[in-house]
Amino acid sequence: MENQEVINHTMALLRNMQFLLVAFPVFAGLILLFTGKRHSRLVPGTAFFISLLTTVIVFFLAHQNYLNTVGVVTKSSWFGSVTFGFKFDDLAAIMLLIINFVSTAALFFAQDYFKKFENDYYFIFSNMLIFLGGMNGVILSIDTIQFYFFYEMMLIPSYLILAFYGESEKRSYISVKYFIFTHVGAVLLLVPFLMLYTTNSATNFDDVAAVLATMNPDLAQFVFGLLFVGFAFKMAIFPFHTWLPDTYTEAPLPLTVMLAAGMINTGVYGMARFLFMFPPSVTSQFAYVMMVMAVITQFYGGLMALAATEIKKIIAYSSISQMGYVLFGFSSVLPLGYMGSVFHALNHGLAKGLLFIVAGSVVLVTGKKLITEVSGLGAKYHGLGVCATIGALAILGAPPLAGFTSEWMIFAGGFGTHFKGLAVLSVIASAITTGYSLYFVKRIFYGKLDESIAKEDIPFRMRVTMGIMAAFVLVVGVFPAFITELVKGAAAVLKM
Amino acid sequence: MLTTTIMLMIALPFAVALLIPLFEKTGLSFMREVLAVVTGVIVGGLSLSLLGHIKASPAPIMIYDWMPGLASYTVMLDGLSATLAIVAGVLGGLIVIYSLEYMKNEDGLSRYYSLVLFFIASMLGLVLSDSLLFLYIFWEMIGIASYLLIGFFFKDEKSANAGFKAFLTTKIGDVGLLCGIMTLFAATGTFSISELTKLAAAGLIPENILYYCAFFFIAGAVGKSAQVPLHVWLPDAMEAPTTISALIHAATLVNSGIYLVARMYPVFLGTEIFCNLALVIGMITALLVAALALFQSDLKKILAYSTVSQLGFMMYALGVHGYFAAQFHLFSHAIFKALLFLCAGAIIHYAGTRDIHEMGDLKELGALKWCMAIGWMALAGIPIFNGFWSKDLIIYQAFHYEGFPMARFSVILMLLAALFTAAYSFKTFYILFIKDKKKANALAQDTAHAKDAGHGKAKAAKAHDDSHAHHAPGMIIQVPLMILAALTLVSWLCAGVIASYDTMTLTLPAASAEMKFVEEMHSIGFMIHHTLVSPTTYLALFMIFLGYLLYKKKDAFASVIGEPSVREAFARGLYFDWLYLNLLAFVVWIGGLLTEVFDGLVFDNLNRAIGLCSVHFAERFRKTHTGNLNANVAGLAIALLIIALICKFA
Repeated sequence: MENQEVINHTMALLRNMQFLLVAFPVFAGLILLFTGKRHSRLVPGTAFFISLLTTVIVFFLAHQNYLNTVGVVTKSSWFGSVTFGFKFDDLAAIMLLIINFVSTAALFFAQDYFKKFENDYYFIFSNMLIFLGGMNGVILSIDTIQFYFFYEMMLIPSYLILAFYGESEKRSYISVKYFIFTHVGAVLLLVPFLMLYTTNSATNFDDVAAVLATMNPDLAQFVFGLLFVGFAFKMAIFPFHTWLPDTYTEAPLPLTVMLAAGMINTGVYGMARFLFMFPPSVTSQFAYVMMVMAVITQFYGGLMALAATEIKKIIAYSSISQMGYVLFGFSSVLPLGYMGSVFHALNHGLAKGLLFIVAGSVVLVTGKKLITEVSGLGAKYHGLGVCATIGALAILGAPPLAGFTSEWMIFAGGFGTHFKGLAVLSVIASAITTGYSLYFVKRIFYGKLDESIAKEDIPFRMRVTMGIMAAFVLVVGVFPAFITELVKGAAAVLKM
Repeated sequence: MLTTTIMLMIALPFAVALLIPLFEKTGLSFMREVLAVVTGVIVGGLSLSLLGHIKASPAPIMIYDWMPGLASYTVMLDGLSATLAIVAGVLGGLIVIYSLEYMKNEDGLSRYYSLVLFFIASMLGLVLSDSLLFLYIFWEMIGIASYLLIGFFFKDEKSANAGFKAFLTTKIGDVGLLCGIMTLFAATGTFSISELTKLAAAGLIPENILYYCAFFFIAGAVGKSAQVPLHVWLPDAMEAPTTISALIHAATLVNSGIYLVARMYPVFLGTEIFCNLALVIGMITALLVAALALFQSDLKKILAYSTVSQLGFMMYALGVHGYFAAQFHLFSHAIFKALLFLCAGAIIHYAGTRDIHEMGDLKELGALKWCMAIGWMALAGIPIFNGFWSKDLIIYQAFHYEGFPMARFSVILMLLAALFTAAYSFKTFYILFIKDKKKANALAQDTAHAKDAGHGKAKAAKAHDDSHAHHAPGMIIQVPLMILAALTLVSWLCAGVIASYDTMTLTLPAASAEMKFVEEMHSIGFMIHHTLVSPTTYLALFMIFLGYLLYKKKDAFASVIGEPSVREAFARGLYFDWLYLNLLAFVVWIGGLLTEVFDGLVFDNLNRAIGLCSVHFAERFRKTHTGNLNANVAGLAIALLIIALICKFA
C-alpha cells in the first residue's frame, strides 16, 4: 500500500516535469556557449544527450497522456496578469514528439556534417539546443505573451546558424529574408495578443479562449485574420511562402531538418490552438478562403517542386505543398480534418526530415547541387535509395507509410464540407506530389551510375539517422493507434 | 479459425518480406529462396482452404483495429473475394517456384522476393477487404509493389521510366477512387462495403452522390485495370521480369479494377451510369487494344496489349450485368495469361530476344510449345479451353441484355474484338513455331525491320533477358507451366462451383441468363450444342483458316493493311504516349513559369521594392538628422505641440 503511494507520488512528480523540456535545452545551450570552446570534443555528445533526454521525457509524458488524456499544467504569475507556465496536453504531445525526435536526429548527425567547423562546435550546438528549447517553449506555453517570447526566441538561434554557416555565398541575404519574413509573421500575432491584453487583460489561453468565444463578430473576424496570416507566414502558405525555399536550401542540413520537420510545426500548432478558440460561426466564415488558399498552396508548391532543379529545393517546395494539405484539413472545420492536419504535421515531419537527409547526403557525397547532374546512385548507395523511396512514398501519401494515415483524414474532412469540388482538386494535387517525389527518386537513384561523382561514403551517423527515421515512417504508418489516441484527444476542442 | 487463417495469410508474407533482406550479406543467402517458397506454398494452401469457409450470408470479420474508433480492417469472404484470393495465392506460389530457376542469376534477389511476397500479401488484403479505406490502402500497396518491381532492373533507364509511368498513370485513377471513397464516406459515415450495400438497397444514399461516385469508382478501375484512356502504362510495364508480368500484370493486379467494379456493383445497381460507363469503356478497350496487339512484334507487348483487351471484355461483361461472366472470365484469363507469360519468359530466355521475328528456331522446345499452344488457343477462344467458355458466357449474356440502347450493336463490336484476338493469337503462334524461319528470314528482314515501328524498341529491349540465352528450360520452369496448362484445360469445370458460392449473382435479376448457361454447362448435350451454335467458335476457326491461307503465301498482315503510316500509328499505340508526355511536359512547364513569374518576378521584386523603399525613405529622412542642436530642439518642440493638439481635440 505504502509502496503504491510512493509510486503514485513519484509519477505525479514525473508528470509535472514538462518544464524540463524547455529548461534542459536552454540552460545546456547557454552553458555550452560559455564553456564549450575549451571542451570542443565533448560538445556534440552533450548536446545530443540533452536532446535525447528531452525526447525520452516527451515519450514518457505522451504515454501518460495516452493513458489518461488529462493534460498537466504548471502555472505561476509572471508579471501583472501575465502568467507563465507549461501545459502538456494531447496537441502539445504530438507536436513535441515530432519536434524533439527530429531535433535529436539532427543533433546526432550534425557532428559529421559540421566537421569542417570543428572549432565552432560550441556555437553551433548551443544555438541548436536553444532553438530546440524555444520550440518546446512555444508548444508548452500557456500564455500569449509567453508564447510570443518563445516564438521569437527560436528565431534568433536559427537565424544565427543560417547567417554564419549557410551553404552558399547568399547566406546573409537569405538569412535576413528569413528573419524579416518570420518576424513579420510574429508581429502580426503580437497585435491581437496585445489587443486582448489591453482590452480584456486576457493573456492566459483559457482567458483568451473565453474572450474570443464571446467577442463581437466584426472584431473577432479581424483578430482571426491577423492570427491566420501570422501563422500562415510560419507555415509558408501561398502567398507568404517566399522565405521557405531559399531558407531550406541555404541552411546547413541539420538546421534544415530542424526547420522543415520541427519549426514549421509551430505554425501548425498555432493554427490548431488559436483558430479553434473562435466560435464556429467565425471560423466557418473563413473556411472557404482558407480552403482556396490551401488548394492553391498545394498546387503551387507541387508545380514548383516539379519545375525545380536544385535537389534540396525540390524537397523545400514540397514542404509548401504539404502545408497546403495541413491547412486544408483545418479549413474543413470538422473533427476528422482537424485530426488529419495535426497528425499530418507529425507525419510530414518524419518523412520530410528523412527526405532532407537523403537530399543532403546526395549533395554531400556527389558535391552536385542540381538534380540533372546526378543519376544512378542507387547502384552504389543501396540504403540511401531505399530511404529515398520510403521518404518519397510517404510524402506522396502511399500506405502503409506514415503519410497516408493523416492524408485520408484530411480528405475525409474536406469531403464532409459543402466544397466538394475543392476537395477533389485537393486530391488531384496528390497526383502532382506523386510526380515530383517519384521523379526525385528516379532521377537520382535510377539509371546509369557515373562513377566519377560517387566516390565518398555517406557519414556513419547520417546513415544511422536515415535508417531509424525510415523505420519510424513505416511503424507510424502500420501502427498509428498511439498517435491516433492523442490526435483524438486534441480534436476534442472541436466538439463544441 | 477463419480469422486466424486470414491473419496468417496476410501477415505471414509481410513478415517474411521484412525478414528476407536480413539475409542479404550473411552467408545464408539461400534462405531467401527457401523462405519465399515456403511462404508462397503456405499462402497458396491457405487461400485454397478459404473455400471451406464461404457462407451463404457472409458477415464482415474484424481483423485489425488500425485506428481505434476511426478505421479498422474488416474482411468479407464471399465467392468473389475467395476466387480472387485463390488466384492470387495459388498463382503467387507457383510463380515464386518458377522464379527459382528463372531469376537465379540476377542481382538484388532479396529485393525481388521481398517485393513479391509484399505484393501477394497486399493483393490478398485487397480482395478480402470489406472496408473501402483498406481496399484503397492495399490498392495503393499493390501499386507500390508493381512500381518497384517494374523498376527492378533499376540501372536501366527504360525500366525506371516504365515504373514511374505506371505509378503516375494509375495514380490518376487512384485520385478518382479516393474521391469516390471519401464522398461515400462523407455521405454515409461508413467505409464498410456491406453497410453501403444495405444503405443503397434501402435507398438511403442520395442519388446525386451515387451518380458522381460512379464516375470516381470507374476512374479508379480504369487506372488499375489499364482501360482506355489510361491503358498506356501496361505495355511499358513489360520491362519488369517476366515472372512479374505474369503474376502482377496479367493475373492479379490488373484484375483489381474489375474486382472493384464487381465489388461495388450492388451499391451502384440503382444508377444506370455505372454499368453504362463500364460497358462503353470495356467495349472500346477490348476492340481498340486488340487491334493494337495485331501490330506489335515484341512478344511481351503482344501479351500486354492482349491483357488490356481481355480486361476490356471483363469490364464490358460487368456493363451488361454479367456479374458472374466477368468473374468467370477473370478466373480463366488469370490462368491462361499467366501460362502464356511464363511460356514467353522461357522462350525469351532461350532465344535471347523479345522480338518474335528474331527468335530463330524454337522447334526443340517440345513441351513448352504445346503449353503455349494451349494458352493461345484459350485466348483465341477455341472450344474446350477455359477462355472459350468464359468469353462465350460474356457474349451470351450480352445478347440477352436489354438495359443499354445499343447493346445489340455492342455485341457485334465485341465479336469483332474476339476476331482480332483470334487473329493476333494465331499470328504470334504461327511466327513463333510454325513458320519456316530459314525460308522466311529474308522476308522478315524485309517487312518486319523496315515497317514495324515497334520493332526497334523490341530489339533494344533484349538487354536483360538475353544474359542466359539458349538454355532450354529445366524442370522447375516446366512443372508450373504444365500445372497451368492443365488448369487451362479444366478450370471451366469449376464454373458451377464458383457460381454456387456467388451469393451476389443469385440476387441479380438480370443475371438469370448467365446462370441458366452455367447450370447447363455440365450437361454434355448442352456443351456440344453450344459449341456448334456459338458464333465465337466459327470466328476463331475462320480466323485461323484465313490466317493460315494468308501466311502460306507471305507475311500476311503486312499486306492486309498495307498503308505504312497506319501500321506505324498502330504499332506505336496510336500516339497516346506522345499525347501524355506532352501533357506532362506542359504541366512541368507551367511549374517553371510559375516559379519565374511569381517567385522570381513578383515576390522577389516586391521584397526588393519594400527593402529599397525603406532604404530610400531612410536616406531622405537622414537629412533631418542634422546634428544641429537647435534644429533638434525645434523638432522636439513641434512634435510636442502636435501631440498636445491631438490630445486636446481627440
